[in-house]
Amino acid sequence: MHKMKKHSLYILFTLVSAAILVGILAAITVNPTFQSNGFNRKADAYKLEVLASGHRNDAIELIHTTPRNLYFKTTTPGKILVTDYQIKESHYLTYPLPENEIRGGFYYTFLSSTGVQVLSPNARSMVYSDSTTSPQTYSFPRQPFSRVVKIGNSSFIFRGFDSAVKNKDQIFYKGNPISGDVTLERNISEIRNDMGLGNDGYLTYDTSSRKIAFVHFYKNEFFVADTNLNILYRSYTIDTLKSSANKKLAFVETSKNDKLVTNGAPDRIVNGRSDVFEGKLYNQSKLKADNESNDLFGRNMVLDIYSLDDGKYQHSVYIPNHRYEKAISFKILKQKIVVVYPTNIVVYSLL
Amino acid sequence: MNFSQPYKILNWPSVVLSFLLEIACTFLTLLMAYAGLSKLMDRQVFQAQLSKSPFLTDYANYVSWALPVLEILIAVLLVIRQSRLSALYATLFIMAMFTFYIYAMFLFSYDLPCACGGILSEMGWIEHLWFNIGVVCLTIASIFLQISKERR
Repeated sequence: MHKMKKHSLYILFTLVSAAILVGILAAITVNPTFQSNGFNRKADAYKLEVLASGHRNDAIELIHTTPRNLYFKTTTPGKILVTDYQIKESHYLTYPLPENEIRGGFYYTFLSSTGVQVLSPNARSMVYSDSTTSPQTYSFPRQPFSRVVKIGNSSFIFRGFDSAVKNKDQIFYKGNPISGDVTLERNISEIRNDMGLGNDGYLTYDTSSRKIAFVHFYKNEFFVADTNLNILYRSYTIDTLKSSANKKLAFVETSKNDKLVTNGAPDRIVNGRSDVFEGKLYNQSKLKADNESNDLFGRNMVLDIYSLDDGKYQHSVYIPNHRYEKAISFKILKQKIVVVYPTNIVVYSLL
Repeated sequence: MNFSQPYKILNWPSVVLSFLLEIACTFLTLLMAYAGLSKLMDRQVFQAQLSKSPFLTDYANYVSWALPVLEILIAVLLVIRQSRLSALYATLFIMAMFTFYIYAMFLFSYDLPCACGGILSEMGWIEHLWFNIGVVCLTIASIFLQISKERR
């Protein structure tokens, strides 16, 4: 019995030691997010109410809506989860895709009433597929890209590599995979030759105002441009992190022919995902404001809302964790926000 | 019937507990070996993941070798009966560390890097947390079973 007691203490000691070690690690890692960041938020303008919730299945993000249904990109290319707004009845739409055209599990899906366009950054291709004909593949663009938004039937804005910057950085260009037309940006990107990682961000397109917005991940900047890539203005998010250091790169060989480029140092993320809807930019901030508690910031995803007309900050809205889970993605609709969590999809009213 | 032969009485509870201990240790051995080997096979990815942690970025190269080697060493020590108890404590420490790390990630931020390899990297955070809690409980139970076995 004495021996058992002794070993119970050893087990307790082992567990406490592990907890202390991880506590130190977490404190060092998480601390920058929770420190005083020198700005305040206005967060009393919106009230969120849960309108509906249901199981996520394998949905990743909302990509299309009709008055009756929500369409979600899933973890399988070409497979679309369709649900009603109550997230009760769901089924899948499956579009055939040539497997070798989607590489690395990283792809963009654009759904329309006629079919689906899947763009693969690593395969440098666009596949168009509908349920009646065999899928068509367009080898476009010529270099890998990281971001893309659809601005017309076959017209897209890309952020990717180009020979104009010796493929050492990424720039913006407008491209049409079917005609092969390309129009490069003029003086939008700051060239750093760090494979585009230091200036990486989230690209979105507002169909109502026909503007694109790009919010940087690692500094508090964003810009708004028209669909011909003319800058309308550059602005700042409300936090105070104005510069991002050049990225230390890590090259990972994923196969004999493929190399993955990733950040080789800790990320200091300022902004996460963003979305634009009817003249407003909704940006997920990764920094706590001085007028909010650690608990409030930790238990919510914070969206800061800016006017797309002039880039001015308006309000913030808190998307709560759902059953202790943080949101994976969100999409703004008319007076609604659809949020995908690790196990559920929740539709909130945005009043 | 020959009554001169000594009649061996089997201690059934003891046999069952020994059997359970062997199953648990086999599972933990396979888990440690799998975790270590999958990290070594994808070492560059593992190193890149570690380098994103502010705590480990300067030591990512060393840790990306040391941790999988340690896991494989623990797997070997779990097989050797004389070193099994120490190996179980080492397993408990490593698994408890991973569990607290996932909990911290879950609680504070998804931006913390996770460098699990193989099939474990396919799990969601909640599944991963429950899996690890289960393994920690199994390891604690194995420690007690091993101690009672050594006493017999």
